Amino acid sequence: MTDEQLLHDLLIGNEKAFRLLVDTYKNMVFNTVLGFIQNRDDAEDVTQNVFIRVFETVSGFKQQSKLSTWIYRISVNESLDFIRSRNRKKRWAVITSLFGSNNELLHQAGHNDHPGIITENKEKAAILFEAINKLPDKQKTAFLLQKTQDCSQQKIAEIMQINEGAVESLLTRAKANLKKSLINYYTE
Amino acid sequence: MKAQKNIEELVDETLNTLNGIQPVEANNFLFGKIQNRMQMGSCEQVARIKMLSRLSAALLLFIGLNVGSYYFLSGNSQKPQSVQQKTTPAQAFASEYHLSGSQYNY
Repeated sequence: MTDEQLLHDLLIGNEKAFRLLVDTYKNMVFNTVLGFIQNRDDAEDVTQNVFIRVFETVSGFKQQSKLSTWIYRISVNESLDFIRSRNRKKRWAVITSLFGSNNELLHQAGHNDHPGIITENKEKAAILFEAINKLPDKQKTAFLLQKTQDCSQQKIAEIMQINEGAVESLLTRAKANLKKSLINYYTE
Repeated sequence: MKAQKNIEELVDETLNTLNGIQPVEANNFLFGKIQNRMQMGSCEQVARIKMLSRLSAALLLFIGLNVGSYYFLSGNSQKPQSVQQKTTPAQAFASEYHLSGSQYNY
């Protein structure tokens, strides 16, 4: 089934078409989200949000880009929204812990562990993800799409709706910032 | 110098940890879970609409009662004022002690 047929069927509310869409793109969405969130349970929740959003907004899709590019874009936005909300909760947890009876964190953050990383790299990957999480959103998005999804610069440019030169610049700055961050980590 | 070289090696190794990242399979029951969430979402939406309509009805009733009581009370309070305007305190005193006219009944 082509993207056009799939979109047509989705617009008329065909459940089979939606199931096909989920089955076709679930691994792509899940792995993209996992790159940002690094927690299986949270990534699964965000993946569900992505498909619900796709279903709700499919009538607004103008077909100026490929369906996969549009779904990538929604995945990135939902992941970044989730991270912002998680950071807000963390800040709130710090405040509430000040007023808690035992001075404990009342809202524990989920454990970060990307299941796609091989065991021998897990320790170093955790350090790298900590540095990635400190990057500005655009640098983080470009870097993660390249590293975890193996996206070309052209594809990243389409997803982020910027030109290829800007993507190259974002990737260069992301790598430089990560290197600086890691040097600081290892020299401390 | 050696330490710096070690650090650079460590940084490079760390930066390359994402190179061999394995794709992870999504949950096989994802579609069912999404359907569940969508149904729950629509139920929640209906409940939210019901609660909002009840709240707005209560608010309308409250405003209506207040406006009604304002007009009722202001209408009532205007009547004694008009009486007071017609009878001055001297007239009221005169009528109380029957001083207003020559109608004495001995």
